[in-house]
Amino acid sequence: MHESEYQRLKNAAQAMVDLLPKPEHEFSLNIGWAKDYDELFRNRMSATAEDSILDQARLSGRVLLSGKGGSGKTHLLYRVARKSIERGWLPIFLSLKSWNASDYGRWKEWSQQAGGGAAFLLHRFLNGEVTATSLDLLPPTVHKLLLLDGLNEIAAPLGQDILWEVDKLVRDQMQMSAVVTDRLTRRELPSPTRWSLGVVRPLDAAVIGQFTDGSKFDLQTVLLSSPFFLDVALQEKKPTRIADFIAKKAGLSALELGLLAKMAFEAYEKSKSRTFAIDDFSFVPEAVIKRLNDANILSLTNEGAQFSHHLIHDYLAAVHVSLLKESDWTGQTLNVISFDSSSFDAVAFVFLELDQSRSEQFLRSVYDWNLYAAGYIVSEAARYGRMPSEEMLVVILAMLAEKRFDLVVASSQRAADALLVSEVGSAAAYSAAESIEGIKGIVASHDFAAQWFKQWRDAFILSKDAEVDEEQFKCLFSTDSIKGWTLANVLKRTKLSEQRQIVLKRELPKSGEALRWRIVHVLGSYPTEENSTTLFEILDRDPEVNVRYGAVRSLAELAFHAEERLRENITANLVKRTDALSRDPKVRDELTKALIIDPRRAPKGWLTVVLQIAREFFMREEKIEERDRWRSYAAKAEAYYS
Amino acid sequence: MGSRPLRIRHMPDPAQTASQSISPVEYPPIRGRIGHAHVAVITIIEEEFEAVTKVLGTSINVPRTPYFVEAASDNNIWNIAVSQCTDRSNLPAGLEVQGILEDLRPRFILLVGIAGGICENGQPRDSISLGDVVIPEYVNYGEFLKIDGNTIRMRHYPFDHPSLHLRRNVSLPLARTFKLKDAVTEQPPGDTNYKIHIGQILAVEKIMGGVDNVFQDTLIATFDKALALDMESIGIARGVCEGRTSFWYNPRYAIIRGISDHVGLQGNDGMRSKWKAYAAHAAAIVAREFIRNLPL
Repeated sequence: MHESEYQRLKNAAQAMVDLLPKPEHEFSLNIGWAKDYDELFRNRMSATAEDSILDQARLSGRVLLSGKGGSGKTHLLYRVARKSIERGWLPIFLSLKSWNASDYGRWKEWSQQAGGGAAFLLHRFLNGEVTATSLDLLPPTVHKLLLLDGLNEIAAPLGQDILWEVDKLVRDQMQMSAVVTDRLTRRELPSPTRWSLGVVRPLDAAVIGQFTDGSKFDLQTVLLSSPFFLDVALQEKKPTRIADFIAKKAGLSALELGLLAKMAFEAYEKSKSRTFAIDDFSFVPEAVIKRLNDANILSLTNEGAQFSHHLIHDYLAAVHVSLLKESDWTGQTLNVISFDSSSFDAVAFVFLELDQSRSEQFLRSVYDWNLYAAGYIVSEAARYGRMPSEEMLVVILAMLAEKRFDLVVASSQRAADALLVSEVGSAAAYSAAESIEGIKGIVASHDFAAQWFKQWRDAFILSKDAEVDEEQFKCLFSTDSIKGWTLANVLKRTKLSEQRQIVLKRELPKSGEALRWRIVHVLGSYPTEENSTTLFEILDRDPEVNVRYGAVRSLAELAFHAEERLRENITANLVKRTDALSRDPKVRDELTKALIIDPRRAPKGWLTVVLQIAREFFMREEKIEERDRWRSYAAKAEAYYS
Repeated sequence: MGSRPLRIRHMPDPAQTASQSISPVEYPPIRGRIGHAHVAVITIIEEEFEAVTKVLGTSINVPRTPYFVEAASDNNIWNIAVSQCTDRSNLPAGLEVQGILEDLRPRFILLVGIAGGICENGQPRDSISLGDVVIPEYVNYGEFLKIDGNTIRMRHYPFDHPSLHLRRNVSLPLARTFKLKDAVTEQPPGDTNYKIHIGQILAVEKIMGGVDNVFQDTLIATFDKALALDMESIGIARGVCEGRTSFWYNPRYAIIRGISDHVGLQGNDGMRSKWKAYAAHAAAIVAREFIRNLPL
């Protein structure tokens, strides 16, 4: 029985590998290996050829290969699958690229039970032909290799859950290893010491030269170091805008391209995945669909339609957004193309499609929605040689850099990561600054002519003992999110009189969501009973989740700044609200993040605050995985603050 | 003690004639990511690790791993591997078991160390004395769930109890025949009965605030047969249960705890400081005898 099952699976694996696409141009890649994410983001890696991946998988059991979109991860995984068969291993290839909208619900259903997530992945992506049990029936001397492509193709929280399921499957099965591809983002790794972290390195000039003979292309074009873009360029015989490439290959008119872009956007909106039902988009003529299919731009399968590369889908969705009115560049629109802030590739493409004046406005809209997305845009813009204005560049880098000194560990780490991976040359100085004073020094050294920048700069560099003047104070209320949020942060770190705090609290009931959020953000720095009361009222009653999120974060911060009695009071009131917070997951999660503050700055007794709250949440959770989460959280707090 | 390949003799097919020969089938031990250990011993605190490695003679570190063995091995197969958890409590203990199961696929796992003896009305249950050793037959555990802020309920999740087979064939005979007093080589810091008890253990939860928390007191009263209390047993119990996921692998475990203090009595902390080294030694001595009597 074991022998026949082994033969069946081996034949199926060989058939699968035989069907894997082989591109016309195959680029051999180098992998940078880092000890952990801190080292990875600081580019402290040891490089090896891609042949080392299988050895690494065998040694540690799990490999996470990160890389930017278009860096060649999928074809790399195909080559790894082929090599594993040559070694006598059994590859099991799962591609998350065909994840569709209904999979989110089915995943949730299956993963209610322990091991259900892994069972779902095998069932869904291997047509039920392979199960954990059938794999286990193989003799324990058979080495199995799970290859999971495209963790970045799905929303980030789900990607995290899938990583944990893969970890468990590898642990449970005899002789199994896993290789997973992902974008370059910090993941919370289950059993971190057992995951080898690798980054797919950009193609170097020597490799590019092999394909381009150096004469026809501008080798300074950083773009060509990405296999995807190099492949497009080789097909077109020159570096080419993706939209032009698609239009030419599929013979599309400008109108047809516009319809295609609309379809790409609405596909993301409807399905939150890269696989979608083509019948939902009857406004795109069938003839166009056929041309796209014939040109291998769009594939049509039983699962649904899919563009041949996620960057093509991202690009087209971005083209659609670039054609919208500025007033339509809302958080909702940006959430669609970014999968709720999981991936910023499409957002960056929008910026690159726009002319100078519109791109600046777009960048402001993005800044208003998500600072890290704005940081990603300026980094990608540097790669493509399309920089925003000098003023906007300084603003975004400075605002990111300020967050490096945030009290909350998760915030400071995220900001530090964003600056470390930035392709913008000047980001290094912001990354290296040792204090907010250092950042102010960098900002102060810029003297651009734009009046708005001078105002912004003068507010940003105010000393901590200063008080903002009346004109600056009014900027908090500005509809310009850059002015508004800058002032909110400045008010937190300068002097804010009691009178002005009262003014802010009086504004709360009359203000819109954005302003209420800014006000609660400011109040977190001023530990008084009155501010505590106001923040709890907001937490209990504000209808907007972002404002409640801001309030709970500020309450955690208030507890940090407060003297002992007020801290105990805040803690006790948060404990009383654990039932309500358990029903408000985004706010609850922000509280748990906000309580993990820089251990060097934590006041005496901070561990007690964290453990009291963690215990109350622990006792309310029914599911064992959630209770484990709280156990881990408590253990993490003990490690930080004991 | 060697870790030799398991030899399985096929049962004869009744239809076969007597003249036909039967071949034994040899299976090499199941290997983990690093190799194989016949027995894996988990310790928690430094005193436990020191006592166990000294008594078992496992002083050689396997390079780039947390495991200590008796001797280096070319094929990464060892009789005994000892490790120390990164921290106290159920969660790190569970993670340690997970790691060991994946790395070494041991046949047997032993949690060896110290625990508190439970007292009732100022008297230790079953007259358990400091320095005695408990080999649990059953792990008690309950998680408290707070519903609507007021109502308290208990919840449980799947976990293994210590192996019944090992209890019958190793623990019980050992408790009846092994002379702990003659085997220990360290002096106890006070009077002890040198007794080995087979009984129940109660595992408590660190996030609940340790033994002084009112919920833990309720647990102690509820589980009125438990002789000893610790924070790691349930982590091991759950880890082994969750790790038994393959047809090819059936790990079993036991817990061996030396009593270092009496929970609920005044001066408990001072008592533990005084007795923990000896209690760890006594547990290690019992563990060594336990391993000698394991079925191969």
